Amino acid sequence: MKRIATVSLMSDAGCHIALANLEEKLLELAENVEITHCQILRDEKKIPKNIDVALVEGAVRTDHDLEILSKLRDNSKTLVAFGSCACFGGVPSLCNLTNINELITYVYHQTATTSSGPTPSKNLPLLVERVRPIGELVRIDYMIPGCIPEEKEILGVISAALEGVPFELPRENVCEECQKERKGSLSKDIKRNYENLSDLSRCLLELGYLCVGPSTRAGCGARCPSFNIPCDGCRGPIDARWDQGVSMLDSLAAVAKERMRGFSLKTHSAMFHRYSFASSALQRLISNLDTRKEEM
Amino acid sequence: MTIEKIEVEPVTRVEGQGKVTLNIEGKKIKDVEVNIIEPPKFFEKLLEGKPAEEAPRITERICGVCPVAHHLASAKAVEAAWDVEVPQTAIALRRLLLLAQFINSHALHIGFLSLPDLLRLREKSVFGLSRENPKLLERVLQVHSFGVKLTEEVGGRSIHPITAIPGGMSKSFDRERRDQLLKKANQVLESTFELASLMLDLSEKGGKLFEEVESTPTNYMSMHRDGMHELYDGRICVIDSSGNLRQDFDPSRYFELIEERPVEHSYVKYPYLKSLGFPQGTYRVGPLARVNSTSISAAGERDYVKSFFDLFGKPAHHPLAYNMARAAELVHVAQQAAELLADDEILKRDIHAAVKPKEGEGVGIVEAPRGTLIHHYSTDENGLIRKANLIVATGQNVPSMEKGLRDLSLKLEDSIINGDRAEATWKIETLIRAYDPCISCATHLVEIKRQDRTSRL
Repeated sequence: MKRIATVSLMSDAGCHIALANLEEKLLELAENVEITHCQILRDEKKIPKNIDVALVEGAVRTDHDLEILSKLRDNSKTLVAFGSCACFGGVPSLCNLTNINELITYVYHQTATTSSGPTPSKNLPLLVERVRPIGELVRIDYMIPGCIPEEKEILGVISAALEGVPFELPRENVCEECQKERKGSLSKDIKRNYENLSDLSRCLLELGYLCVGPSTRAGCGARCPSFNIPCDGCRGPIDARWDQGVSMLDSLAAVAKERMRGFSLKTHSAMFHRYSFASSALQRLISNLDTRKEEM
Repeated sequence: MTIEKIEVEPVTRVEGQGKVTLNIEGKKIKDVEVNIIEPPKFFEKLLEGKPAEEAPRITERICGVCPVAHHLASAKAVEAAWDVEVPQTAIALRRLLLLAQFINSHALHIGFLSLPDLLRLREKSVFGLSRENPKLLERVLQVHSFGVKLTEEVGGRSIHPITAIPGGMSKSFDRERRDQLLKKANQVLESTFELASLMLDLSEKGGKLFEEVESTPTNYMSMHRDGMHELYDGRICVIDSSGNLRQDFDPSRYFELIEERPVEHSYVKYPYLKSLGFPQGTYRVGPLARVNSTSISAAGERDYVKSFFDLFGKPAHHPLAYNMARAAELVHVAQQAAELLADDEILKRDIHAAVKPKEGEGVGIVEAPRGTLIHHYSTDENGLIRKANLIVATGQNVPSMEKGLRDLSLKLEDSIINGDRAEATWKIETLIRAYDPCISCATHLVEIKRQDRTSRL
């Protein structure tokens, strides 16, 4: 019987709740494979050996996270980045904008209800400088993005990983799945999600809402827009090696320029980085992309 | 003198990363620590500069187990800061959404985390339950899947919902979906009766474990509305261990009454009542606190609340009684959900009020499945978040949980040191699980090591 293990690094445990929410499908799975380690469902404490498929939820924030991740990688034939924290760092990685000393000082000395006391330092894992997606630290064989990942992708990637066959994620953006009507006419204003909730049969971006659908990978059925809520990009970039925010800037530029067609990286560099490309974050990203292409 | 350290790591069948350390000196247990090793996520800092209306969708990523509670506490905090009056229909839909969260969260805990212990299954997991008592698991899953489905229908997504926005809700509810859910709700109710009866029976037959785990008298905190059980909008009360009302305050004043103390061995801070100081002022929240400090109706085949107090006394202090309080509360929330689903108020179209961001400060409190949850934001004139403070449910129970573990470990000292550690470990974890701790939640922030000890990858 093949063996599956799952772990949660720094995360909100939501991907594991998604596993529990599979209910009967989870029980069926457990009849055909051995779920050897799954902290939320079973009592096995050690990371077992000879794992066929490992699912990793969460990003790396501590030396403990890294230790678990490395051990899991060593003991597993295939490893799946399970959810957007593992794939891209997730919402908690937004704190990477702030220096860690400042984070500590703020939370430790300055929040409204904190009284004075010792600094935690005993029997606890050490924090690392910044939140990191697991792919920066170990090789990943499969990934399913999403916060939370879609049920069909959870089941799909597990079965693909067990069989050792590729698992394809959609290559189009959320707009391709969105039922909202696009007219090609644009709002002059940027709107916030609590404004003018009438006539929401229209494309939210055209109405002026910052909907990140254009730069986000499809597969969710455009669920948030169907509830009149702009996409916030939880499924990450369409090409996992690329930058979701840069794509979004380009989409906005295309929209602002009355659907200027073919707005690409080359267009972007001319419009937004004309004098500073060599020192841009984008340049570093492209170097990474080249290196990673070579690895692949 | 030899010093030994026994670690139970990780604590399993809980949400998030925690461990228990027992420090042994010679042949004696010197100290017992709950180490919440799940790292801090710094949401309080992370929120700064973000448009406040995005906070309900950002902060729910603190917890994948009770995201609805964060989603709603956050929306309420923004509305309080901006003086927004939410239409009745939107409030009714939010109440329904919160009830849905309680149903799926409580059912998950009962079936996946707690019953395997209380039934003393050979394999203590949902898989063991599936083999040894599939009929019972079927009941659990019926309730659980209803809660998940209802969350998805009202909240837009089954885990991280999206529909609560400042001013109300983003989409109205339609009759067809309502009718289908209402039909299910009445079947689900029957199953909650069965689960509540079973949990009460199990505590009657609980025997040795219930004797070994000692009562932990503490203060209790809960939301209430005129003394009645309330989850979404009300005042906050605190009763002492004899059941006397000690405090009763408006949510906006929470920071005058509660403080959190950092401790050396955990990434969560230990909250306490300012007026009593630490540790006298520690208190508990969650199902046990709500049942103890508010008036709650939960009757089906029998009166589950009355049976509960007959078994455990009032106020009930036994930590394992959390399991039974949770089951009685499950009946209550399922009844409330069925009633609300039958109410045509939820079908009305007036679901959103005009919103204008402004400089302001607001507190949003709801009851999460695990206890009182506090969001507090200040915003600038553009409606961007200036500062945020959060106090989550689980953190408030950790000090009492730790005290209970200390008492239990001392009782089990002989077997921990000389005998069957596996059995002792199981008892220790069963006590922890009774609280249904959500460790992911508990470390939304908290403080960390000194910078010179921060490792680098």
